[in-house]
Amino acid sequence: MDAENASESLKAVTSAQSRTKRAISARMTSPYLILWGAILTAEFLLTNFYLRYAGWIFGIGGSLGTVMTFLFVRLQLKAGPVLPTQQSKENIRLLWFWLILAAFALGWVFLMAPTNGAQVNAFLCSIVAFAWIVMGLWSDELPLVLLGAVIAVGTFVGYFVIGREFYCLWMAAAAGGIPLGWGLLSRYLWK
Amino acid sequence: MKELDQLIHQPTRLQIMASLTAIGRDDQADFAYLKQLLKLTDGNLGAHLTKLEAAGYINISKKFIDRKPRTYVKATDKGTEAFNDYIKTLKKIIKSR
Repeated sequence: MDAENASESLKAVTSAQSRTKRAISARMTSPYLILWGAILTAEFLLTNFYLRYAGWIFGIGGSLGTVMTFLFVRLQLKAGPVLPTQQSKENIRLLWFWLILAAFALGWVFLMAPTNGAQVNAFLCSIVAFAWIVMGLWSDELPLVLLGAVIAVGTFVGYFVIGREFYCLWMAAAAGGIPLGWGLLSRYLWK
Repeated sequence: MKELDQLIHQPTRLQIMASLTAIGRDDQADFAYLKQLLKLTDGNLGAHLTKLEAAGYINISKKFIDRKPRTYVKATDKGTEAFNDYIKTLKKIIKSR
């Protein structure tokens, strides 16, 4: 084999490995992106028109999303593209992740002391953004880090710049539409 | 210079080993998903997997999930080592240019 052929083989290997990682990552994450993107879009749009029911809308939406998330996790563990071992290091990482997330949430409440619905709402969206960034960093998936950063910036712009009148519509697109679109794209482009 | 492992050198088997070593050390890939990912037929993928299994490079296991059989494939330590050696040899060939 000459150097040119070896170089082509190496490129084929690198390409197959990155395609595999990207496809599995898309397959594992896209259900959650689509689910939570759709839920957040619906929640914000409904809140825009029925503001006084915001608590119910987000309460029901969040509960539905949590139940669906557990079902998706269960389904993926049973029949996902990759069967992880029971003692997978990812499980320990996931535990740490939730602990860090809880610490972040407590720290945020302590520092910002939210006093109204928009603050609590921005807080929840920043949690989602933070979650995508951490998951992206741990799984070496730059697109997820980018997604989290875009949602975080969108949330802060929505809260500090857009103002109350268009806040819900803005957030429907920034916190719901972007992950929904991203999830659908990755699901069907990187399968 | 070390000879290239001819079993791995075959393009389809090279792709299979590249994919299996990319998914994580302890993880197992679902046969149906691997087939879809590599755009292979059942028979084609099965034939190459049998050769890799005979060499001890991969491990194939069957599990029943909801009463349906599912086949999982995993690169063994021997297979991962052989694949890494193959890559090292490729890099040496490229450097010798």
